[in-house]
Amino acid sequence: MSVMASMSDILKNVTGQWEPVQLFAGTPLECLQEMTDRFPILNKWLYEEPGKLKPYIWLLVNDERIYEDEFAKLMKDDDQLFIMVAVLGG
Amino acid sequence: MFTEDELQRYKRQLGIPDWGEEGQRKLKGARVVVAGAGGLGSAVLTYLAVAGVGLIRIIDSEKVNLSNLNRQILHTDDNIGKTKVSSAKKRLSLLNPHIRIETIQEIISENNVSDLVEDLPIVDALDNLDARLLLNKAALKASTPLFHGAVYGFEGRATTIIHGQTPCLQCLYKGSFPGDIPVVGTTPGIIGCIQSTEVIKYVLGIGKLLLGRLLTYDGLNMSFSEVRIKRDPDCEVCQ
Repeated sequence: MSVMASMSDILKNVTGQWEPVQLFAGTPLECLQEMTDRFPILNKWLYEEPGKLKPYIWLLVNDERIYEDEFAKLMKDDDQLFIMVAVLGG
Repeated sequence: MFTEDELQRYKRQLGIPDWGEEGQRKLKGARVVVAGAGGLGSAVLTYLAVAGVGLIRIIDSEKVNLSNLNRQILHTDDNIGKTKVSSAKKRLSLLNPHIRIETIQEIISENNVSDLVEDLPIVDALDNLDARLLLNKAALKASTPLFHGAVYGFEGRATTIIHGQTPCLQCLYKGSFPGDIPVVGTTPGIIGCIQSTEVIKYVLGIGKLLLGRLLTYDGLNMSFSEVRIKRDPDCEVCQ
């Protein structure tokens, strides 16, 4: 599947990737794998340990928040994945 | 019911469809808790006060320091070292002498949160997850709305949480990005205005609230978007 992926500003800053990225992946998990392959620095920003996302990382598919039980769900062509960092400043 | 001064003061909003004197009476009779008198709280409190919300209870344990002043517009150099609740009350009373302001200078804890918020609508204008989640639990317990806002840099988010209709804050947040939070003053200004707009709509019973929708603001691209949010099936708080 062809999926467009983008990220919160914090992650854009660390990767230097400010534009959306076209990925070829079937599931949100595969999208994350492809993103970390392209931008290895993302590993330490996204994962607490291999396979376990940090608690403040959200995944959105087509502007909908998804939870862990949906990370392996098949995506469709032209779906959009957003990697959001949960921030709580006041 | 309203003095001539009040009618003049609120004249421009009384003309909004579905507002009028009846809506203004609802606002005057409303009691709202605002947790946090910092960046978000400054904007929220300012606009709730000038709109005429009858009683505003401000909770904040901190004192004003110089590094607050790029964004916390209720406070000034003269207030440095004084409590935020006292400088907020002083400023808000000048903005609208027709409302009542209650101040509580306490740290929100598991032990006191229910007494602090009672069953009043709560504006979450805090800057830490632990206290926000305490407000969330108190709001769920009292079946009262929680108006949430959060900021970082040029980014901001807001949503309105109502038990049984939306996910709760615990569904959304399992943790927050660590470290110091950089922020430009305009971001909490914008998000705080959105939170206060939600409160006003809720009190008046008009418009469409941000239920099940997280409004996200990206100041660098100057764009707003919406994220559809849903309950976490594993949430232990709102099951």
